[in-house]
Order: sequence, then C-alpha cells, then structure tokens
Amino acid sequence: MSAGPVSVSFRKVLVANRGEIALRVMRTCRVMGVATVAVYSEIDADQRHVLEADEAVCIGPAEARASYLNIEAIIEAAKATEAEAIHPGYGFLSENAAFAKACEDAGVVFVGPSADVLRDSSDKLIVKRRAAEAGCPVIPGPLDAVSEESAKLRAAANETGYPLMLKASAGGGGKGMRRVEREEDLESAAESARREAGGAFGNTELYLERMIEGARHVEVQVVCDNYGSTRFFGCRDCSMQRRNQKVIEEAPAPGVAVGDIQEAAGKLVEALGYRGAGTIEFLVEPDGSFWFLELNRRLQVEHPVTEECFGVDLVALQLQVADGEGFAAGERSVFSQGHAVEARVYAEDPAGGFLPSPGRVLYVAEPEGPGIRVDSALAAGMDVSPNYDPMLAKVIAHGETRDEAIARLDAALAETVIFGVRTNIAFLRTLLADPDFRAARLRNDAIDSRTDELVQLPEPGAEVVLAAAAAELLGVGARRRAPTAGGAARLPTPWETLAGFRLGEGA
Amino acid sequence: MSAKSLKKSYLLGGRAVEAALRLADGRVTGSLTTAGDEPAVVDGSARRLGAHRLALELDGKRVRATVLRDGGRTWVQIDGRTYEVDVHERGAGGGAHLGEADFAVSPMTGGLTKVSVTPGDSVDKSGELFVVEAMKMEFVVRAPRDLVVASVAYAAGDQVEQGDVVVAFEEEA
Repeated sequence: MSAGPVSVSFRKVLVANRGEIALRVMRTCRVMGVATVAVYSEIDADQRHVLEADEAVCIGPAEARASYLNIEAIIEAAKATEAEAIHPGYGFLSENAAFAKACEDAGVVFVGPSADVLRDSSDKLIVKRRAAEAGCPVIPGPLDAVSEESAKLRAAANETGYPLMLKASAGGGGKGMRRVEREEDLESAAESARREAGGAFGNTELYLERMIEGARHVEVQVVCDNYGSTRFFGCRDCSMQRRNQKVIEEAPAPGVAVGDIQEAAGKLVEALGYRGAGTIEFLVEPDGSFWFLELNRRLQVEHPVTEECFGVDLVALQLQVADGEGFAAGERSVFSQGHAVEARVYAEDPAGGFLPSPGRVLYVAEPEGPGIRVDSALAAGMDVSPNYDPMLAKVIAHGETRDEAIARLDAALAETVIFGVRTNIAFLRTLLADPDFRAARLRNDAIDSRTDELVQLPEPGAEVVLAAAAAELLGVGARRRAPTAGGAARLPTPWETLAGFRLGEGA
Repeated sequence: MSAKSLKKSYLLGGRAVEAALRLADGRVTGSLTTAGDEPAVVDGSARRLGAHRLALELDGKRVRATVLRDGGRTWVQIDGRTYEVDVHERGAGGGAHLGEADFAVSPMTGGLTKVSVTPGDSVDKSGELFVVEAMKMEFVVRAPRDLVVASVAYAAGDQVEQGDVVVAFEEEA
C-alpha cells in the first residue's frame, strides 16, 4: 500500500449496522473522503448513526430480523443510494455468507471475506479440521462429529476424557455448548445441546473437545489482502468475560510470546484463502501452550485496543483491501507501543442479575484526557431499545505501561455519567481494581467464578442524599423540558415565545 | 444570597432518608435521618460547579457530584457510581413531589438582569418572575399559572445557564 494519505476508489459506502460501530466506520469514511449511507429500523430514526450519516435509508421495523438482518432491504438501499460498498460492522450480517453473496450478485463490494470463504468457514468443526491440517494447534478431541449412537458417543467421550465440552458445529454465541463433568450426564447434555443447536441454527451436529480449565482467551488480529499477504497486529487478551461475553479487553496480551501464536494464526488464514480483517481466537494455558478456539470473520468489538497500540486504522485497512489494494511485498507491520485497555459499558443492572436496562437516556457525560478514547453512540434523549444489543459505549485507555492504561481507564470510567438507564460502570471499576487483574493473573473464568462477590458495592454514604437535596436548593440539575428524541432537550427559543420579549429596554 | 431551606423525605436503595437542611452562602446545615437511625448532623458546604455539577463538602471530605432532577427522581453520580434518589411520596397532603410545572428555568444562558419576586410572593398568571439577558437581548420569564414563590435560587447580576431553575413555586393548592 502506498504511503501518504489513505484513500480508496469508493465514493460512497453503506454501513449495515447501528450504534457505536456504525459511527466508528463512518468516522474513517470521512477521513478517506467517502460519503456514508446509514440504514435504520423504524424506531432508530433519531439515533446518532442516522443523523450523522450523509444519507439514511429506513429498512424495516424494529425487530432486527425485519431490518438489520433484512438482506433484500439493505441491498435495495445500497442500489437506491448508489453505494459502491457495504461495511457490515460486527454482529448482524457481518459473517453471513448469503449476504456477502447477495452483495456480489448486486455488484456491491462486501467489506469482508468472500462469500465462498464465509460459507466454507461457517462450520466450526470444518474450520477446526482445516486448522489442524494447516498445523495450527487445536483443542484435543475427535475431528469428526459425534455419533448419535450412544455407544459411539461414550467411546469418543472416554477417549477425549472428562470434563469435556460438547459444541455445535454451527454454533455461535455460546448456543449448543455444554460442559460435561462425567459420563452419566453425557447423553442428556448431548440431547439438550442438539435441541438448542437445531432450534438456533437448523443443524444438530455436535463435536467433542477436552475442557481446558482456567485458560486465558488470547486472540490474534490479522488483515489479509487479496493476494496472499497477511499483516499481523499482535495479540489481545480478552479473558475478562462474563458468560462468554467479553467485558474488558487489552493489548498486547500480557506475558504472551506473540511469535508462535501469530505464526499459527497465519497458517489458518492462509489455508482458508482469507481476505479482510479477521481474528483468530486461542485458549492459552499457564504453561504457554495454546489451542485454536474460533475464527471471527469480521471487525471485532475490541479492535480499538489494537488500533491504539499500533496507531493504525483497521477500518481504513478493511476498506483498502476491499478496494483491491495489496500489501506491498516485504511491507512490515507497524510496531506496537504501550498498552491499551477497553471496557464495555452496557445498559444492564449488575445488582439485578445483569438484566438489560432499556429506557431513555436523560444525560450523558463522556470522559476525555490524554490516552482516552470513547467509541459511543450515546446522546441525551436517545432510547435504548430492548430490540438490540445493550452495549452503550466502549471506553478505551492507552498508556505507556499496563498500569498507566488501567489507571487512566479507571479514572475515565469514574467520570463517565449516564442517567436514565442503569449501567455496569461501577462493576467495570470493581473488575479493574481486582488484585488478580492488576497483576495480570488472567483466567477466562475469573468473573463467572465470583460474580456474587464482584457485584457487591458499599452502602451509599450521606453525600448521596445531600447531593440530591443540595441540587434542589441550588437549582442545579433540572432536566431540560420538552426533550426531543435523538438530541439534547430544548426549550422554546425567545423567538417562539415573543409574548414576554422586549428589545433594548432597560431592566 | 438569602438562606433557603428544605424538608423532604427521600428514598435511596429502599431506605427512607429525611432531609432537613438549610443553605446559606454555600454552607449547608441541618440533619439527615435514615429510617431507624439517629439523625446525622450535617455541617458542610454545597456549591454549584455547572448546570449539572455540584461540589460538596461533608465531614471534611470533598466530593464532586453530577445530578439530574427528573420529576420525583434525582439521578446522582459520585465517583463513578450512579444512584437513583427518589422523593418519598407519603400520600395525600404529605407529598413533596416537585412536578414539571413547579419551577421556572432560564430559557437561555446569560445574565440575570432582574429578579422580580421573593419567597412568599403571590404571583398572578403571566406576572413577571425574572429577566435574563444574553447577546443584548432580554427575555422575560412569566408565571405559567397563579402561584406562590417558594424559593429563588439566584439574584440579579448572577450568570445562569439554559435550563437552570431560577424560581421554584409552592405546590399547587
């Protein structure tokens, strides 16, 4: 890729997503001088991704199935606006082979892997087999689907050893996954996993893996061009997960030797003929051994920690690769500098069992300062809909050292204010303060094993009620009246209420 | 600025707290009584940092709070934690709910050139409450109904931001 200002031949890109990631993609489009098209569901007309785009097209009702997952409507919107490429963000249609195919058929560039690669890699067991063949270490277990015959299932399980994991070949989002401790539970677990996988994916195929206990979740960021070259952007650690949902992510992965893992990741993407940005997830054990876990064929939620360390714009690279640019022979990856940590702010109530907390956002104050980045679509007046993912914002801190990045992130979260919906901000700060996390003693079960303890907060002090009362006495903090959705509430301007208006008259 | 006082019952995390407070020249005195506990004496300070920000001092400890008053609920954020403080409704006659129409706010950011009322005043509908000036334009805020003034938060010459409560009314009879 040539030095100098980043550019692509696209004049207009449609962003088939919503929320912070849609805004994130549009920001890069603006840098590159590319016009943006937003798509939105009927309830999202006042969301920031719609208001800040150059054009916006309504693609259907609130339910994601009828709008953000509506392939036909999105292709229609791209044609109507003459967008030359579609960036799918993450989630929704980002890894959907049928969508990528529909884009190809419509003559619109899909910013991601080819439809063929997406189709071939949609089956986890097939990808695992390809990884093993390519020489990328995989979690021990048979590379064939488990038999429905109970004798064969038992034999395969005994060979793998307990505890083990049953996984759905078509799986995703933890669906169709079961941990099995002992032989007595095997058949019922297989049965319920099959049922769940069948319901969710229309495919009941399962496979077995040895349970890797207390490992870390480490992932490699790559971007592959169309001509067989791969650029590597180091490792992230995403061990801080709650029920398979990442909460805190960081780069680089503390104490992980990048070389071998990157090499293994490279073998897999090469074998698949992969194109675009991708993440290869691994489990890493305390002795340093690592096992391929999963391939994510999209931009990840946590991509900013990599961007902050490497000083790159991964969305720009995605667009350039989609535009057919190749990495120049011998081009080296830029170097990682310092450390970055990200916290995901969710509209959920940790004290109430982490139930989502939809509602109208009444007030927002986002942090700033050296090393602080906020990827968010928050605005006072916006509605947090129960129809979509409850992630509100990502707060990212970069520092020279891990300690500095954590300290900056903690201070940034302390000054992040969101009123109107409940959030997990206090919980995030508890996690950042955890001695094991501070010492980088990371395990992917660290949160789940002590959730009850981690959601505890001290009793509120007298200053809280004093603040409420003093606000009233001082006339501070009154909600602006007549809030309009999608923006700051407004009061009538003097021009709208001329009855009491005087010009040039002394008081 | 004249002294103002407040006597109100709040709910925080399911516990009722009675506040009896007086504010004069930034000094807050009085008591906070959590249900079932002895009253806690308050002698601290409260100052305005912005349209939604306060600087408080209590028992020698200083905290910065961000607040939003939304009808009967006040959202309070202190040091990364957010609290919902609700006005404790105690049935007919005892309620202390501050409704939408119970105060008059500044329609724009600017200087208060005149405050026409003092606490206890009865004002007829459309009577003048205060005057704000910004960019050489004056705007007169008038009473939305017949009312009695409960408190006045600013004096002529003060700077106010759009949305700041300048005059609070007694509850409607």
